[in-house]
Amino acid sequence: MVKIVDFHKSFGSIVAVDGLSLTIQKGELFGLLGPNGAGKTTTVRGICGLLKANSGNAFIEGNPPTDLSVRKKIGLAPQDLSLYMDLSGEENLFFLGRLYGLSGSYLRERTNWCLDFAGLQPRRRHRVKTYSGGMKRRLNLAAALIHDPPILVLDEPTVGVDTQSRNSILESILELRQEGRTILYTTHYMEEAQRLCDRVGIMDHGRLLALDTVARLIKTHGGKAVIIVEKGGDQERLTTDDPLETLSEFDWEDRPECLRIEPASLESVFLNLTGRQLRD
Amino acid sequence: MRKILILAFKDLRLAMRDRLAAFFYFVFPVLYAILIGYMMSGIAGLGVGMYRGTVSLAVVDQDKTEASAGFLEYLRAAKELKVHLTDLEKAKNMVRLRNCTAYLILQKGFESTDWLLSPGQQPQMRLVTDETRLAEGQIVRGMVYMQLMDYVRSDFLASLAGSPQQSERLRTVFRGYLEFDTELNPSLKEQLMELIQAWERAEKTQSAYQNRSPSDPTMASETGRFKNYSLLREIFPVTFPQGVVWAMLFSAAFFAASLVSERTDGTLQRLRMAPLFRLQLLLGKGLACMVNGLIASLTLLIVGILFFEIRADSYILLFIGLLIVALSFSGLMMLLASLGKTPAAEDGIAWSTLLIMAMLGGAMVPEVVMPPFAKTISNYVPVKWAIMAMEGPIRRDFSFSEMLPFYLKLTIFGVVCYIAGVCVFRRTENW
Repeated sequence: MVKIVDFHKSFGSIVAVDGLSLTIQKGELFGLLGPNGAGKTTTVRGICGLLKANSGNAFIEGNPPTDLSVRKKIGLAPQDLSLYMDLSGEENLFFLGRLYGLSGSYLRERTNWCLDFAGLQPRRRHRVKTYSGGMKRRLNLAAALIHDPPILVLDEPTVGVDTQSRNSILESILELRQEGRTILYTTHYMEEAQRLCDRVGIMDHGRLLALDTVARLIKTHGGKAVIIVEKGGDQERLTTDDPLETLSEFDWEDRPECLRIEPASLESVFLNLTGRQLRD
Repeated sequence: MRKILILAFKDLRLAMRDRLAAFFYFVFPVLYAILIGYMMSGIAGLGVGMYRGTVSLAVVDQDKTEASAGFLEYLRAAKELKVHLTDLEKAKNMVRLRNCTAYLILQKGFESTDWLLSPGQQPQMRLVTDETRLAEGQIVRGMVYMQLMDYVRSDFLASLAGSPQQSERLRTVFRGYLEFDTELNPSLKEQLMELIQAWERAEKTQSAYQNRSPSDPTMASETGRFKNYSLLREIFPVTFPQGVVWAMLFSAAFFAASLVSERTDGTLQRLRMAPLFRLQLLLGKGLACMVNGLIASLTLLIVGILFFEIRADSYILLFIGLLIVALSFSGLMMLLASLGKTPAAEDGIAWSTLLIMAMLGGAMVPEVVMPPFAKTISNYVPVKWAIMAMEGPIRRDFSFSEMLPFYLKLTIFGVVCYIAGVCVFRRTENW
């Protein structure tokens, strides 16, 4: 179980996280969403014990994350590619594995598993700097798994990758959840969170604005569905609580060329909660 | 310990894979030691027979006697000097136009023996050097002194039918000149004093001193260590220790940059997530820096031993020195790494610090051309201690007790830098 209690962190006058409390249950895939600068990465770093809170605490299975024994239980895939570009994929994994105390045949076994997981077996001996963006991202994720941790912290693991790599990463994450790992997943891709997460927390300005399952969040904060009607080159958008009822009232003699229903989604929840103004 | 070794091994592997960096700590120090060695052959001896180039000297003969003409011949005979006999105005102009490094006036009365045989009196000649060409000026000064000594101890003295007593008196006079010549570089002064001692030794071993000539074999053998010195034996033992220091400096700069890169590239974050103590992580980096510097230095010294006649009086002391210098510079690396938050900032801080240290410590500018205040400062610069830790066993025949102060200073410096670096790093990393 991962728990964070009344966590405050400021950088000078900027409040990054403002009294955040949440609990992630064992085996849960928890999504932490928020616009840029919402405080997601600071929260992740706090949970991993990479920064000291101004106040509040983080706990991993009841212990502070700075304990060496606790660190072995966490696998972090940071937002930035934290890999040695002049080492090969295999060497990166060997190095990290050894740091976690792995050795001998078990280290080789785990390295092979990670390379398979990342789909990098054919390029295992090539230097990371020669990999594509997607391969690097996959290796970044695999490196977090070298010591087979029960808790995974994935900070925007799909940033800047192509559709194939992204899909591969998402499927891998689902696989990891099925293995019973606890996963904290931060992203600002709503469809990813909707596809993967058991529960989602939406953050902005360092505060947690909502926390629930995706379905409940949509029900509570999602607003209305949208019916998009295209006729004679024009597009009409009709918002409604009940799309079926609205459609039943349609004049079907004047048939539209295209008709689409957009149900309330996590994206609408997100925009409703965090607003539509640009974030830097 | 195992984790420290794992970290160090990773860093060494990365260091070896950065070919450009590897060039700087493996190849550059070797090139430096060799190239600077050859270049310094023109400066190191500053005229006492070691100078291999030619320096132009304008001579104004106001005495116009046999004595001044004789001395002029001696000056002309010196292959290192290109002598132009001219008048005063032209001589001044030649120096002004950089056609000559200096001009020498043989003043009226040069012929008289009074100035020569009366301690306290200066020779009746005046040397004016181009102030902007300090090193060359010193070379000329040294050459002129040397030729004067040669001249006096041969033709001039022979005409006086000199005795050993008179020779001793002459040496006293010369020592007096050197003592009171405030423009003379101290190292050059020291070498000229050695030359006078060589003269004395030559005289003691050959009683028939009166019959000698400028090509006197005894004299030649004594002064030979200056005149026909071996570049290999005299210069490379100076430049190879400097090369070692450069290897260590490059190594420190590389590893400082690598620590900052770990921070900015995010790999430090992953290391911090690993079950490691902070000290293990930083010791791993320090160990890698130390081993890298050590390997680079040993490579350089092996090249020196195999091809450039570098010999140590004690290889054990040399190795201890290497270890301590490597330790010291890895401490410095830690401090430098903690000061810059970005690789560019760190690079700037590291190189400006290291270059100033190298300059003041004598790894860039030969100490012989330093002004006195810089020489005083250099005694407090770790680069100087490092050079001494290398030079001690290579060319100074230092005993362990003589080496100990340098070992201690370097160790204290390294440990203090390391602790300071760790403290600053801890604070800036919020760790």
